[in-house]
Amino acid sequence: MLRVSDVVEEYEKYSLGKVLVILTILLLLILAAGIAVTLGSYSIPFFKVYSILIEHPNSVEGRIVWFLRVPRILMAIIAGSALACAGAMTQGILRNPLATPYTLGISSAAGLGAAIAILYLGSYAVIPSAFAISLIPVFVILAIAKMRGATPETMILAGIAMLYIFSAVTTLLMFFANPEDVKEIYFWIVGDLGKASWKAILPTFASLAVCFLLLFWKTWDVNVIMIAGDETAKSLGVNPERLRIFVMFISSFLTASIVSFTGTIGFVCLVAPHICRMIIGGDYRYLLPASTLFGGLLLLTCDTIARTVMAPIVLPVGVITNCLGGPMFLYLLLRRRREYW
Amino acid sequence: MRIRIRELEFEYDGIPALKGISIDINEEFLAIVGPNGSGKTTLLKCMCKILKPKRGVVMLNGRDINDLSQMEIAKRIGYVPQNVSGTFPAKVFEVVLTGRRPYIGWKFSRKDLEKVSEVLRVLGLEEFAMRDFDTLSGGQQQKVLIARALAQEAKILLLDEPTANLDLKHQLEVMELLKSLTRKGVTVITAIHDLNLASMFADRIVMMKDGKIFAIGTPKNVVTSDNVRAVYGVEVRVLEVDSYRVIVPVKG
Ligand SMILES: Nc1ncnc2c1ncn2[C@@H]1O[C@H](COP(=O)(O)OP(=O)(O)O)[C@@H](O)[C@H]1O
Ligand SMILES: [Mg+2]
Repeated sequence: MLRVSDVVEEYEKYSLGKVLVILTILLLLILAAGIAVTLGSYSIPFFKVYSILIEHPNSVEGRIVWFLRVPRILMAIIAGSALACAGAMTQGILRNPLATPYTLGISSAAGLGAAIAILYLGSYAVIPSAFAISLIPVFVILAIAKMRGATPETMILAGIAMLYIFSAVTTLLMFFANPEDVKEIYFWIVGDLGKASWKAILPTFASLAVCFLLLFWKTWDVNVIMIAGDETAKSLGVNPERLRIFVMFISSFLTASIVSFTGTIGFVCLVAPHICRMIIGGDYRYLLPASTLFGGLLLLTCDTIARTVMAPIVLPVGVITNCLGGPMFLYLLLRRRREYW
Repeated sequence: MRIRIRELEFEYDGIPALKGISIDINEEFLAIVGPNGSGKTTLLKCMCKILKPKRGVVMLNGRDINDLSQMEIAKRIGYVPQNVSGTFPAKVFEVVLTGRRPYIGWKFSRKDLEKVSEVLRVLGLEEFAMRDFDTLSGGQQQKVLIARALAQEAKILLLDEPTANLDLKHQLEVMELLKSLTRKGVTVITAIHDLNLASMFADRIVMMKDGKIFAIGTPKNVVTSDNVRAVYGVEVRVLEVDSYRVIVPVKG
């Protein structure tokens, strides 16, 4: 016969296990960053790198570490974390494991914004243009949700429609563009961290920090609508439609603020939350921080591979995430325990 | 707590499902019976603002529920849905914990966790606490949903066919539990198909037909062969066994 306090203790032990998993991922992330900073096409000895990090010398090696490697590593962590964070929340509120911010049309709209800038405005305008246009599908979907009700089905279908429309327009623009521009647009669409700089770190990190906190604040309500369903959630005091719109808006904003710097890096937002869900379960109070850190770890690992596997050629990280993400996803599908989750 | 329902009307896309329902409910065990599609589920959902009626009011202790926020209603009314749906995996403990939502902003206290394990114990579910909800049998799942409503500590419980998935023993167990709650001052309102169970446990029975109340009153007055014939179109005999009323269908 179990006593009341036994059940409570069992649950607390279970929760503690999740906290330990999150701390482990954090540790791995720090470790991976520590290793990544010593790797690169320009070979610098391991200990030299750390002395550079401490002393900031104004040598060639010093500049490589400080202005190329460190911002790129930070950007990989920020972008991976942000995409995984937005992906985890989108999957939850749309109750669909395949839904990501990209499903809502954000990536293809950002791609169009980048293409317009590259073709007509000049590359200085890529980031603002990508960001501005990637918010269009967000507002269209919100408007449709207002008219037809913010159900998961409405939002996903509206998002997929956006995705097709924006891709079609981008394709049309590329069709009439010169080859150099097409290459640049294409490179952007694949997703790349090569342009990472200290200037990009601050706004992206600020966006990640603010959006993460706003989303984290709603994790308990997301648990309720996922476990109880929309109708019963109402009887528990949660407004599912308002929650869905709030979370969708914040996740989309976060994604847009990242992809306008990096291009559309695929699969992190899909795979990272899945792997975490398999390890620690679906309670978003733990799943969200775990996915966020794990996304950073995943993208940093992919980017380190992209920088070193064919050195001195540096591949766009999007190629690596897609190459690894596709098979990894199939593997997950094969060994999943249940129909969807 | 008292509930007054006046002239309640509800439509699904223009098709009426409730056509002018008026009931006064006090602290009691009220069973809602009626054929499939007669509006039982719709009525329960209107009572806790899951659905917004087209016309009419639901008053809770004299206050229109439209003037109460969803959160205020959640503290007073617990709802146990009929279909146990959801492919999303969660531990039984986590499912019941969602019943604490109206009381917790973000962080639960030890008290919330203790409340959850207490209701799990009351329903004999403590050994399942760490099991995945979707690995339980239909009857066990049903009990978990009742546990969630109990964790909500609401003074009014709305249940939609809570015994539909249960074997005889568990049907009686759940009804006994609900009955014992009414003795503690909880108002229990349950939709139910089994007229025998309803007669055995309910203080009053509402019999619905086509979105209207056909009869309301004590089991003795409502569950009669005339009413059952008129509402269900079935010939039955009503027997009395050990002072319980038992309905037996008569072969055509
Ligand atoms: N979501 C819905 N959309 C349209 N019609 C519905 C919906 N739910 C119920 N109805 C209709 O409303 C009427 C009452 O249904 P319901 O309240 O579920 O009855 P009961 O619970 O007594 O079986 C039925 O005619 C049913 O077909
Ligand atoms: Mg029903």
